[in-house]
Amino acid sequence: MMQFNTVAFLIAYAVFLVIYAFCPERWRRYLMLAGSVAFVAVNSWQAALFALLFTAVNYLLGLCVARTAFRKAALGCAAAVNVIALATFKQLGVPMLGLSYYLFAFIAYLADVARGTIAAETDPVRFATFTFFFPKYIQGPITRYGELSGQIDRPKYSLANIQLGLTYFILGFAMKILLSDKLHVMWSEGYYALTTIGYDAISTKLAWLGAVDTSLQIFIDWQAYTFMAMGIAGTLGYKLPQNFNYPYIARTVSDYYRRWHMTLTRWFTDYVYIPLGGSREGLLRTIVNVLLVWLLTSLWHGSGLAPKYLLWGVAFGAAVIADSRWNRRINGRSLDPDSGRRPTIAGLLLGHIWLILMLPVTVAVLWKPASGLNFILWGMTVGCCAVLERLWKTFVVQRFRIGKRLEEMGPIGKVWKVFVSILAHLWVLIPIIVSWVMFTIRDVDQLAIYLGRLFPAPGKSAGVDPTDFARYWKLVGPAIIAGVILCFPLPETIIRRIGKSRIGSWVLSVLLAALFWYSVYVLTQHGSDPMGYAAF
Amino acid sequence: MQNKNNRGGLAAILNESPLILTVIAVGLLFLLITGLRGCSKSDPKTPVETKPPVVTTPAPIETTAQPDSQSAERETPSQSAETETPAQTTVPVSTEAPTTEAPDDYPTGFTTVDESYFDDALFIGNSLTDGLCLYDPVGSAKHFSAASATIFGIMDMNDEFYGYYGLRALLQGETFGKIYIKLGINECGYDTDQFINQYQSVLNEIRSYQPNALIYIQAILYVTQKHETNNPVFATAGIMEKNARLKQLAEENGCYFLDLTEVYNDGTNHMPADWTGDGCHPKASCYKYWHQYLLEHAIVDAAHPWQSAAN
Repeated sequence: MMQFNTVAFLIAYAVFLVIYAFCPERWRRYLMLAGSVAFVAVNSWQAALFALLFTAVNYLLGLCVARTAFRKAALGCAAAVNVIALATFKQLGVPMLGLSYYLFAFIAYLADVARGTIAAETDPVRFATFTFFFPKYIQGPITRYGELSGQIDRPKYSLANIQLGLTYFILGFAMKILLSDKLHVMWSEGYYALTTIGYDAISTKLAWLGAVDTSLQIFIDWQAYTFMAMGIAGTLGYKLPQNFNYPYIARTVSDYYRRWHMTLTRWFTDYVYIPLGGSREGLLRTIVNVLLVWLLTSLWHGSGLAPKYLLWGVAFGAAVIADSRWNRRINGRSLDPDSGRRPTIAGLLLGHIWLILMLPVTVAVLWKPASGLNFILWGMTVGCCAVLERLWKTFVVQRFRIGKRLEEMGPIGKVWKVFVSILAHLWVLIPIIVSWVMFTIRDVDQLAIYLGRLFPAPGKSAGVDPTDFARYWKLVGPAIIAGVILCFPLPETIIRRIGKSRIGSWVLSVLLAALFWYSVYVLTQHGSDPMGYAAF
Repeated sequence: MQNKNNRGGLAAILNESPLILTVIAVGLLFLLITGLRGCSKSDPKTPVETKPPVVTTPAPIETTAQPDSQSAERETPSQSAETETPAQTTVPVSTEAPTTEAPDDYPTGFTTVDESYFDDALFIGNSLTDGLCLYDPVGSAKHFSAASATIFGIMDMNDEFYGYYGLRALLQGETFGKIYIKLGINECGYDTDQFINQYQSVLNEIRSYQPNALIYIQAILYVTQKHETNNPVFATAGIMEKNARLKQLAEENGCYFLDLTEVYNDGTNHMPADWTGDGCHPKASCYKYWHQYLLEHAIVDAAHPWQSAAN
């Protein structure tokens, strides 16, 4: 495997940078394609073949969708091809490097072509380069076609961009080797993993340390990969869309998932949530849409996607379409906020009958999957928090105009604002941290034991070993503190500011070079864990 | 941006992208330092080690060395009555004293004791001993153990326990009634003869500091089937071979062999999968089986009397 955190990749990347520098400008796009295909093929020739196959198919599908008059139907078929492909691979349990990421990108491309946002691509080389683009191939960001295609012929290749790109690459590389891997010891299958002690035997303090640890580790792993991807793209003159924006400082759960894996959220919003009606079809449908998006995210993570899920998806889609029409017929004018009339409860229940009927069907279909139930719990936890937030906003904040009242309270209002702010952060962090535990522990029985340690019965918070928290704090404490600091945007801001001045740039360069080689040294000594999301 | 290879190129790099130069420069410096220091030492964390160990004692040990350690023990008359009582009571029973020839029904006379038996015990070992003493300690036994300990390095480890630096200091500074040794899982990559020879020399040294102590050699535990599949170095066959030789070593040295693989066994000579999280270490809640085994397999004889505190 040649992921970014391997010596093999470093050597290949260095060689590629040199070739790229001396390559004539007009041939760089071919070099990019060749290098990217080689990168994928070296990792897995099967993945390269399938990527090539899907690229060809979607290239043709794109042209078909653009040329036909029945755009919606064509889009439906074309998207279905990709969805079925994704579900098939998930069901077979065969990991195919990059598959999820480029299939999502293709669906987005087809939708954009159908909507007329972009023209269908006629140049196969550009299309293939988009698919195989090696900085983003393994784990995204999930790029819109328009974002990258324009750059392929005109990358902004410059020394300044090389400096910035290498800066981010080294930062990401160091974060992965020195921090993410260190945090991972509590959860990888080694001697120091909590599973070695057995979740039933750990103290509550240690359980929470583990929960914080995995939440930080997943973030740092992603941030590290993102910096590396951005950095590599930058050294070649490309700009990738932002994927993470310091999610743990969010003050609402909705804000949180607009900062976490932003391109995936964007994809689900643009191509699932909004087509379903978004928040334009009333509160109940909004809630359903939000939960559905989270359910789909959960199913994507779980690898046991049976064909019944596809059938259920079709049924759900039909129910949604029926719901819009039927609800309008039943409740008619009372849905219009300006009409002065409100729908009755009976009216709402009858109006949304198709969705209500889908509920037991959904539960029956989902219960109990062979694997991936923990991902459903994870997704539903975050989804329910998002829904609760909307309800709170609608029925409390807006109705009682809390924002305005705090303004009117003057200085006392400011104190209240701080208090509310702290509560807001806790409201985000505690469920999110618990949800990451659900994400990390795949066996549901083991998960239940762990949750029992996080929230023990009174008097049962001690572990078998009274020194367990102290021992683990010695082991991961410094890494946790470093991770927490990196949850804030300040370090990145400082680094960028230092890099702007001449002297600062030199000082930074020396430090980064030292950091880089130290990380390489640690890598050769201890190896490094594979990237967390490459398997999804 | 086409003229990077021009003469102005280096100046441009210095100006706008010093990182390129610093990475190369620091890299060369690194290579230079590494080259000057010779091969960098690698610190193997994983137990798989196939290079020959550094043996610190003269090897191989001949059998002539044994009677020295044995005669010291046999100074006390222990050839008393050979009554074989059932291993149920906690009253001291006399057993046959260990001889250089293995008796017919060796090991003999294990009896069940209680926690106080272990108050003057020392447990020497690796991460498994760490686990026992952390999660299910026996009596107020002392221990000298570390995750990376091997039979090749145990005598030279400088770790501090109970105010003593290193095992030798501990053995010279305190007197123990029983010494339990459990090493071997980290040495699965080594040749069995090398392993046993080193074990013998360690035994000799321990005996020299603690001539009157009972020495128990504990078997190497099997790993789970899944762990064996992923790490063939921990194959049950190899562990069985080492354990058989350890049993023989115990017999030849007047020590006692504790076959823990009787307990940590899923029926296929592997560690039960639900007793472990990582495939080779028992979970905290599963050390009790080892603890219980120790309570039920103790040696009490005229040379090594013991009485329950309850009596």
